[in-house]
Amino acid sequence: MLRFIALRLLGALPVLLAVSLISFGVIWFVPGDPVSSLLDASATPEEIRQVRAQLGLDGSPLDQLAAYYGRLLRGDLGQSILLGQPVAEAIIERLPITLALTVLSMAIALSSGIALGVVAAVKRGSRLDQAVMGASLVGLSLPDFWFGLVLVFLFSVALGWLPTGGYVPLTEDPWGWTQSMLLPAFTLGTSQMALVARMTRSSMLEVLGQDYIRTARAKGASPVAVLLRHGLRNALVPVVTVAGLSFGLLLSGAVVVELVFSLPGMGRLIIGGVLRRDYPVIQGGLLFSAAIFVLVNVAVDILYGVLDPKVRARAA
Amino acid sequence: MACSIRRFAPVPLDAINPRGATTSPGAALARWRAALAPFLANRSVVLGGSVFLLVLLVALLAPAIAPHAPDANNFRYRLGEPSAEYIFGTDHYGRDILSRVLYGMRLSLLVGAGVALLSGATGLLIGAVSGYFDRLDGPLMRGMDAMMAFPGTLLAIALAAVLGPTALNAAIALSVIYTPRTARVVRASVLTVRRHDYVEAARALGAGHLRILVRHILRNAMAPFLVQITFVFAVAILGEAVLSFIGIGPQPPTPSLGNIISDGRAYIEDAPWVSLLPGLVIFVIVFALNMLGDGLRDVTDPRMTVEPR
Repeated sequence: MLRFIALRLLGALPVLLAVSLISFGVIWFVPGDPVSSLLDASATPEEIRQVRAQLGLDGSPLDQLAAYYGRLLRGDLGQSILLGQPVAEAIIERLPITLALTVLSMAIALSSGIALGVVAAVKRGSRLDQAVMGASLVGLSLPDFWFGLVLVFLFSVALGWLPTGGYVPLTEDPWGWTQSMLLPAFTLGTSQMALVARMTRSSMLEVLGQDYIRTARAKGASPVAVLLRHGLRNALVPVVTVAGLSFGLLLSGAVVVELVFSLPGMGRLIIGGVLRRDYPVIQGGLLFSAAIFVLVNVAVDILYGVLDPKVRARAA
Repeated sequence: MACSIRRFAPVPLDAINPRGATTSPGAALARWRAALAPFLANRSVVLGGSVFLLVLLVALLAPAIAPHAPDANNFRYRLGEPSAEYIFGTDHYGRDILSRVLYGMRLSLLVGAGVALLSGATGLLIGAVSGYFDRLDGPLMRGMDAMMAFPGTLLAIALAAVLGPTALNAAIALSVIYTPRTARVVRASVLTVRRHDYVEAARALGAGHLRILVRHILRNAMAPFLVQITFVFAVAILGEAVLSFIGIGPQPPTPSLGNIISDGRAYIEDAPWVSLLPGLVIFVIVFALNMLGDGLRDVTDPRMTVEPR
């Protein structure tokens, strides 16, 4: 098992390397000179040199790359041009909100998605199954930023139950925090819920057709035990993979949902960077999110091995 | 020689390209009808497809059916409620939302189609090459993996941000992030098809790589690709909406569905129609495309399970 975990971790290194290279390369896509797009015509050569250094664009490309990895190894993601703050520090400050949002919506998506998927699979072909599948297609087709606005309109404007946006720190007011996170988490969780429900349903249908399910039934196991212990447990294996992939979608989605609900998380930071051409923030935010995503998928891979001994045996 | 090879191809070949065995116009028509029959019998295909065609038609006719010019403002009727004259209401400049939505639909569909074509072409090329040439498979797929290691929309946001805020750049950024999955789909079906005996037969008959790959493998690997492209069209419309909602898509005053919603955000309390109605239109378009894609997949491969996109 340790060997399996070590192999998975090692396997992530090339991916992290590629991800960091791409994040580094993103700035080369700026048409013309990224420095002149930040400064007006009256900038002195000294100012130009300063900004160039701040963007990590001084010296030959090879020097730049070496300096970039030197900084990365020290945990330095560069200096934000407009915030006057290291990018890594800015991200860490805002990370808890984004993580809370993604974890909450993941919890919503997994719990209801798995339940809906199991019900749909058990009642295959029924009205209920059709309704769940129809609803999941709706969930997948909703633009989440718009769905967030719809929820704001319903629950905040029309019903007046929840605030229209803004953030209340958990430590100050737990109830206020819950209120401020409820709609964003639900908005973000809906499309993943749809995905998880579909995946659980198809995986469950496949498992329920297996011989060992028939055997368990023939031996007189109670229907609930067959469904949950023999069926769901095996059906969940591919669902775990989907959950890992969903995490990437959630990180992306959080960017937009934070904008809609005015949550001061990492997504807002990145959008601020995007709108004000703060390239170090864009690069750093991109790299940081991708690194989280890669590590989550390594964790999922490991979990996969824990759940399914066959995977472990194949990898070793 | 070409004719003798063609005999080895399985039936679906004709479903994709009926030129193959045309004898008379009547026979060609019958072939088309036979090939299309299973699609027309599928409820999702028919319903999703018709709604989508309707959307296309409406978007094409936008200049003719829009009641107002998209940028004409009526300052006496700002944030006006939906009425007979302004069916979707007006925005904070007193512009007709319906007319802006109709023009925004054109842009959305154009970007969606552009992304489907561009990422489809690159995905097809990369997937075909890596499925067929074993030596190139490793490097190409590792490259695709690296791109899929990013949270997709976030990478598109970063790319669109550095490229600059235009519809074309939005389409390029979105194409980049949707290419890897398409490449994987194509590669998987190429790997399956190339094992068939008729590919071996073509090789034995002296056909070159290009001929084998294009005429024998790709032609028979088209179905999953076309299904995938339908889904890409759908997510690209969502993606474009996200980019222009953030403010890095096509810039105002050019109407796009995303930027109309973004404009209306500040007025959600007093004039909810500004944001809510354009979003409903996005939803309808994407829903129709997803339904069409689901149906196409069910018809072409009933065993295929639902995969995240």
